[in-house]
Amino acid sequence: MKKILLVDDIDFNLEFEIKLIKNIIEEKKIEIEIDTANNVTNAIELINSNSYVAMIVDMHLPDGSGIDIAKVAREKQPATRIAALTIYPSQYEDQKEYFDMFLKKPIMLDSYKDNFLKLLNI
Amino acid sequence: MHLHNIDPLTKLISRNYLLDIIKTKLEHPNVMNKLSLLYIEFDDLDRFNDLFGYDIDDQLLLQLTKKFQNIVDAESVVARVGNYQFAILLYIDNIKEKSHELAENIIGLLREPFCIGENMFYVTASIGISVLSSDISDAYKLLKTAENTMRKIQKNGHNNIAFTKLLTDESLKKEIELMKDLPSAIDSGEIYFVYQGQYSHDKKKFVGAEMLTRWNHPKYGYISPFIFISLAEKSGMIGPLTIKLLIEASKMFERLEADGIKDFSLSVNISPVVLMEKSFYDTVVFLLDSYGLKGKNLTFEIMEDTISNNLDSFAKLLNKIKDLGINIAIDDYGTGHTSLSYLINLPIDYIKIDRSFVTGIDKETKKFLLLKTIIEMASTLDMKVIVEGVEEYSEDDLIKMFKDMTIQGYLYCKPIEEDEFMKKVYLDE
Repeated sequence: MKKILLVDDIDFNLEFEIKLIKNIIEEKKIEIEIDTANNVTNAIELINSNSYVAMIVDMHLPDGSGIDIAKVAREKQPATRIAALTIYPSQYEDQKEYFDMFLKKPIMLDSYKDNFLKLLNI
Repeated sequence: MHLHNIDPLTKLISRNYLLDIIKTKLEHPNVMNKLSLLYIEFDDLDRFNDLFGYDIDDQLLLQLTKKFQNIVDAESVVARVGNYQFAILLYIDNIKEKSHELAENIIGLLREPFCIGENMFYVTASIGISVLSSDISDAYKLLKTAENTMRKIQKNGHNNIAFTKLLTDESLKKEIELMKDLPSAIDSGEIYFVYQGQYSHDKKKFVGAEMLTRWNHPKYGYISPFIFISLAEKSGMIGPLTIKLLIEASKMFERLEADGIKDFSLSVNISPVVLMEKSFYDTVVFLLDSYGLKGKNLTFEIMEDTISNNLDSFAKLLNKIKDLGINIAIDDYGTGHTSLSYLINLPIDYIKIDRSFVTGIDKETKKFLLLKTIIEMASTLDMKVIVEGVEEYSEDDLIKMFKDMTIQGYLYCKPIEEDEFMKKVYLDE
């Protein structure tokens, strides 16, 4: 089964994303397994032992930035599609190369759904 | 005039043609200190496409163009110089004052919502002004200086209202800063929720609570909800804030149920800006399904003053929401300027009588009689009543004369944080 990774240090946000993605999965009748991590260390551990088709990474994490995760992921799993989740996408203009897309925070339902499908090439 | 000199959407002149016009003006004698340029950039108009559908930005640009054309004089030139960028060339005496005045007028225009179909939009912008002088002496420099000024202040405003140096003052700076901080405050939980209990005289206990939003800003401290809710409405953040509020309500329902407290109602304020968003209904359906809010005693409070004049479509929307099992309450009843006919046309469960009809009922007979009449009217129309702003025992004693009254006021409960509120509810149970 396809696996995706969600990284956010705020549980409230992770829960919201999971529910939103489950809603999309149900609507589109696709099967996806969701892993979650709350920080960079956790995320990298998961990347080292799992294969992900996509990941959505919060840029502001307690032990680093989403870029730290994207760098490792790009090296280990070059085919993985990576989205950055951030309030200020313009702050990361110079690091665009690590990401396939930027998702805006706080999350808006419609645009998150559309972008999630694009991220998965659906 | 060549076609490429005209913007096909707005029919305004283009950037290059504007430069040509400035060059022509420069040939006039005594033009120094009589010529200025306002560079206006609108923030993120395409975000509305996400919220309301395709090409709303184009429609907004057309309305903005019309408004600009209405406020400039015949001597001024309006141009569309970029996707969301406009420039206005002014040629007039007292140029600094006049440019300042025009920029303020434009910002004033933006304080009013734009209406497209049934939707309402608040648009924000940054404006940079340059005045022809010995330092800024050619067409390109005039345009570029205004643009650069705009960029500089835009950084402070970060996609929100920002003003040129000329217009900045302390309160506006604060407003800009608050607007910039709003998204992260919502995301991080810096904006939080408190509960004000609703007490039933008949049942002698709390039967519900209104959830209220609070923001303790790290630099400015307590920010009045009137201020930050209005900023959230202007900056497109009211949607995410409302989602958070509704999710928090679902958690509170869970907690109440786990503690054996049943039939408890939670009310949340729904801004007309959110209500009119195309995606709002779907968002509510998603939250109801995914967060177990279905079948819960949830009430949407809508301020009387914001009831749309377009009653038919408003009623349709509220009926759809009611069909989801959500109650509708009219907040601040008696303060609006709307025709009372909405009481018949809208599916209203509760009316919340504004404090101004309650304070002093123990001292003024006429006031008491007015309150009595409102309560009787509501009961005749099969609506329940919540009386707001009860602060004195003598006021409360008079309200006890009526059946089935629910009281929301400091006398019974101030807005307090969740744990403290739960203790209060337990004590009554």
